[in-house]
Amino acid sequence: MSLLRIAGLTCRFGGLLAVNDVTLTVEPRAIHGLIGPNGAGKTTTFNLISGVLKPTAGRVVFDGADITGVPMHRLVKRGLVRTFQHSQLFPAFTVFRNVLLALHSHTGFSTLGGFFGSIAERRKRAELAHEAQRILEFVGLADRADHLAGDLPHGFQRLLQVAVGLAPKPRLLLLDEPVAGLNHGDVDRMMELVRSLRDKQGVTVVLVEHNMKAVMGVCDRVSVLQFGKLIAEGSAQEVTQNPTVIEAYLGVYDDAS
Amino acid sequence: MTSNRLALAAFLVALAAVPAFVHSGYLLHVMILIFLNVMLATSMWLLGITQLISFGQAGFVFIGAMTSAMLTKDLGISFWVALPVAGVMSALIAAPVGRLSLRVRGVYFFLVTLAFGEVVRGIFAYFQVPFGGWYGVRDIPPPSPHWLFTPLDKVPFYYLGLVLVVLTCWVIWRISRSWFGEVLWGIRESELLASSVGIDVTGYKLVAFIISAFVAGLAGSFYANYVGYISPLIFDFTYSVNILIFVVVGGFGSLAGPISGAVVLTIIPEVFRATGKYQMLIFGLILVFSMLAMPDGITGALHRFQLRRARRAT
Repeated sequence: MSLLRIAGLTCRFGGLLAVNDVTLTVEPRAIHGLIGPNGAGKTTTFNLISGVLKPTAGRVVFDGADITGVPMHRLVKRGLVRTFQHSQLFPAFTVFRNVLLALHSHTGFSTLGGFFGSIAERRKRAELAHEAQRILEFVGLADRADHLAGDLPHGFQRLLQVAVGLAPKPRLLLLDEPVAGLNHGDVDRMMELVRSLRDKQGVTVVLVEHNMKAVMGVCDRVSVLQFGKLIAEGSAQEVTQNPTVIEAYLGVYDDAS
Repeated sequence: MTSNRLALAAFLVALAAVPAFVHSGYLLHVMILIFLNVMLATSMWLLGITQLISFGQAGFVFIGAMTSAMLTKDLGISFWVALPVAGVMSALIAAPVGRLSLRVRGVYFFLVTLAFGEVVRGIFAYFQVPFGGWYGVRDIPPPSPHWLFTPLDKVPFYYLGLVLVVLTCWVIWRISRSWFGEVLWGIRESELLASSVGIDVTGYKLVAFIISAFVAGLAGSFYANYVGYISPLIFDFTYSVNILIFVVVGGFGSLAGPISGAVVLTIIPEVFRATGKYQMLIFGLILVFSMLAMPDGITGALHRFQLRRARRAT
């Protein structure tokens, strides 16, 4: 059974159809790419899936349950986590504290839980500290655990974002342009990390990306959006040879003019 | 025991010893006002961690004060019962008010809370029975036992205020350092990221709002039974703004911020009281210059000063 299924997803902002009747499925343990030119509706699709926006029409089904319009913080417990296009971090926190707080959903604390520095809370914190350290080692940030997140170089900030997204132990991780603004070396490292998310942690990944090389190297399946519509889907190979996709990216030479 | 803790203990002992050396009723009164203002400022600060600023704090102070006044004066119930009830009353009203006002963001939240404060004032002013209308409530009895708390002797009130303010600061400090507090700091840094890792941002803000109202209610109760007189003319919009100014001038960075802000800004107008009509003018000028010179507040400026000195030393 597919892990994520979106059917007829539509989002209208006034006169603009940002996402127009998009239907796609993501299989478990896949790395699924979502590509398209600027303004194609990729991030909006993410926002619709993750409950930041409510769709005008259509359904989002995650692991057999309808999650259309369920707010983001509730999806985390079900195992769906997303990251953001622009580095969203707790900038004044250390790298370690960023990941520690991201483990919030494992505390089991209700809103009032962990209120008063009780013994139970301190024990929990020690447990989580161990876990945070493990995650930092996994993404390769362990030696920078004490740095302030806001002071990190951009490449490490993106890695930290993945670490924060990984902390709630998602089954499905939505990565919004994880390699935006990274140089070649960092892109390769990030793609290596994305692959190991799937291979070592069993996380299914959907990623929005502009960097074609990155997408082609890592994605099992790619969906292409243009003007909010799904125009192609298939393996990376198939999609790059699809004439509609080439046209969407490069335009067509118009003989008549 | 670290040197910080020793210093704190010494400071508390010094505060407890003040009435042994200071016999001026006026000076003790100023100290009691400082205690009250520190309570209010710290309550505002807890909410302020999440970047929320409430302009309705006076409303919760007034609710607490009115609860306490009616319980002790009209029903003859002891102040010691009325005090927690006043806090709970403010918290109970804060729950639906917070739930509604947190539906809106940014400046709209300010406006809704501002309106709330004015509505509370309006209701208490409109109903002469049982709230006393614009005349307010006078002759609110002091706490029992009556041989100890007499209107002329400030010392028992001084100790009552001291206990309340120390308890408040301790509790709020513990909260801000707990996991709950950690979540609030996270919300301050990035709401979007906080909710993306499963934090119910609105829920946490609501709890902070309720705690903040509870403390405001306690302070209101203490005010009512200390001063003995409350009225809608006291708990107006400027009262809320003053609380906010304490925190802004002190700094949001740590609990030391609201405390130092409330202490300094309670003392300054008193120092210039002798200048009569120029008192508020001077106060205003000092405020403007403090914001220009210390945009992160007193604690922020101190922190930067220490950093600079440390850098020069290396």
